[in-house]
Amino acid sequence: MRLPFKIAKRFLLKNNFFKDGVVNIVSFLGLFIGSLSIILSISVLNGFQNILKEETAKVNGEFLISNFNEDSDLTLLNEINSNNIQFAIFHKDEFILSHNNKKKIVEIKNIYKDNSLDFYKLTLDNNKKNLTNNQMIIGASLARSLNINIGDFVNIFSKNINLNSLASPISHKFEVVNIFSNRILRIDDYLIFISDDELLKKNNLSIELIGDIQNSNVIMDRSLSWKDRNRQIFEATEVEKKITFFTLSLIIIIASFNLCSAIIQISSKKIKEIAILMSVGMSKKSIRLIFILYSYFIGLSAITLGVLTSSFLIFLQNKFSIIMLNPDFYIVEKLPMVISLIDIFYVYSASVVIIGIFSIIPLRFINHMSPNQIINKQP
Amino acid sequence: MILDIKNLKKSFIDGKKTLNVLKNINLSVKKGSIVTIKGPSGSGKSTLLSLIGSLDRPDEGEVIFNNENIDAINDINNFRNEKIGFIFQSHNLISELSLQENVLLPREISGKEVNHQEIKDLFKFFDLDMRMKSYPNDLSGGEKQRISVMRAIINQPSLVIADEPTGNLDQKNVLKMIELFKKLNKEHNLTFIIATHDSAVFDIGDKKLQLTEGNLKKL
Repeated sequence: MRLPFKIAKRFLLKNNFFKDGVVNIVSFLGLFIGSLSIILSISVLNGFQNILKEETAKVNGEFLISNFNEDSDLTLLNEINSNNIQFAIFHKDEFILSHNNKKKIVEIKNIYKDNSLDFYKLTLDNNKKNLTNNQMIIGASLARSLNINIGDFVNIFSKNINLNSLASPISHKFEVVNIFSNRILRIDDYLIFISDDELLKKNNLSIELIGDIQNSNVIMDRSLSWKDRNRQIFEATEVEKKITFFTLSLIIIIASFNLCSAIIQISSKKIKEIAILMSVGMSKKSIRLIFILYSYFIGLSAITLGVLTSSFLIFLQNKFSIIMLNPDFYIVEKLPMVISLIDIFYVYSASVVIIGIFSIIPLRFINHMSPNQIINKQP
Repeated sequence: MILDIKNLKKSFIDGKKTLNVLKNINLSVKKGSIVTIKGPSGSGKSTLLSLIGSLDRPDEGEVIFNNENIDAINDINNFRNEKIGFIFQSHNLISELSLQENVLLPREISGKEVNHQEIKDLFKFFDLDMRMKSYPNDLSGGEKQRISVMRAIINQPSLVIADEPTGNLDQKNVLKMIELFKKLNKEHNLTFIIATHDSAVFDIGDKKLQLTEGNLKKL
């Protein structure tokens, strides 16, 4: 390995790279652009996926445990407390919200204890966050659609239409004390927070959690992650990432065609050297390795430069917010960009495979090479 | 005997014609001897040397090297690396490697340890000790050919095969090369098979042969 490595390096560096290596440069640029595009695109998708996670966590936490029973799940509660995990206990149900003859089906999150509301990082219109019975915080979009303002009173009815003695549905009157905004998944179009003992069904509670649950199997076993709860949208973003990765990998494949040409060019130029190496006992496998390494020198240096450049651009964007967005459309003000080591690993792995395949193909001629004829024919 | 060639035949297809380059070659070479072969261009000298050096395979016949048929050798690369040293008409050095690296190629391929003093001594023996770090393009034709001789003998092979080793050299360098072959033969007991057009080189052979019409004749 040492000798093929040394010879490959010399073949690449001892020659006039710019004068004789146009194909090398084209391959290098292609691979550089390919890796740069993949990393930048994936980082933007990661960024939006992170925004999705953060915004969802603000109203739904990171994990959900259903069927929580205050009396029988003491171990679970102890585990949560001992692991320093933030949580909120609630009961969630669907109701019909009525205001000025306008009605809409809504989802009401009834927080078990009022102080649990601090768990949710709501973007609120005012500072009022502590709820008493018959007070609610509703989503901004919902408030707009039903023309509700802070201080208005609304009625909620059970979807099951329970009737009172006068045969009219049992309603509960609430005062709207605050309005929250959250554009992710149109949450503020249907979600309402209350903390009302009368409506709370203690036999059907759930817990939402934020924190590191990896240390507790008890919690892990019963938890659903934000990805599980939003599987469709999460998988949609994952598919988008895969398609982007695959599509942009085509740039790397096309660049590898050039790399293939570079190998054909260099191996044709070095045909005499190949014959010499055979005559002094180097195996065909080692000779092929020289050109494969030559190809990897070009390929992996281009990929590395692409990764480093894209990482630097991501750093610049995160530090200086160079590309700004309209938050009305994109929720965020600056283009979010996040790259992980696993994404870089995938780029390298795919490149190693693609470059390897395109390097081996043109070297098949070495199997049928007769060194004596080449040595004797060459001047 | 270090080498025994029995009934060796080799032909090539040229369009629709078959060229019987080597018809029935028989040759025995003693260890420590110099065998010189001459013959007109295209007579098959290079083909014969390629078959002896395992760079090509015969159609028929056997090349027995140290009592072993080279056709039966499993690791032919290792055989070539350890037992045979090649010198070609053109120096055939790798221009991207320094002279020292060129000389050490067979040694590095074999994976054997490199003794730096041994290399220095070798360069001194060839009067090139000041040029170890230079590159082939910095040398004259004669110097390059001396480097290729050093590369051929670095692994102390049993047999050195030289195919027109002085073909590209001027008279002064031809004489130097002759002296070098004699010195290596005498001091290191190296066996040489040399194909040449040059009468001065041909004359150093202990056994002198002529290859004509596919047959070897002793002169």
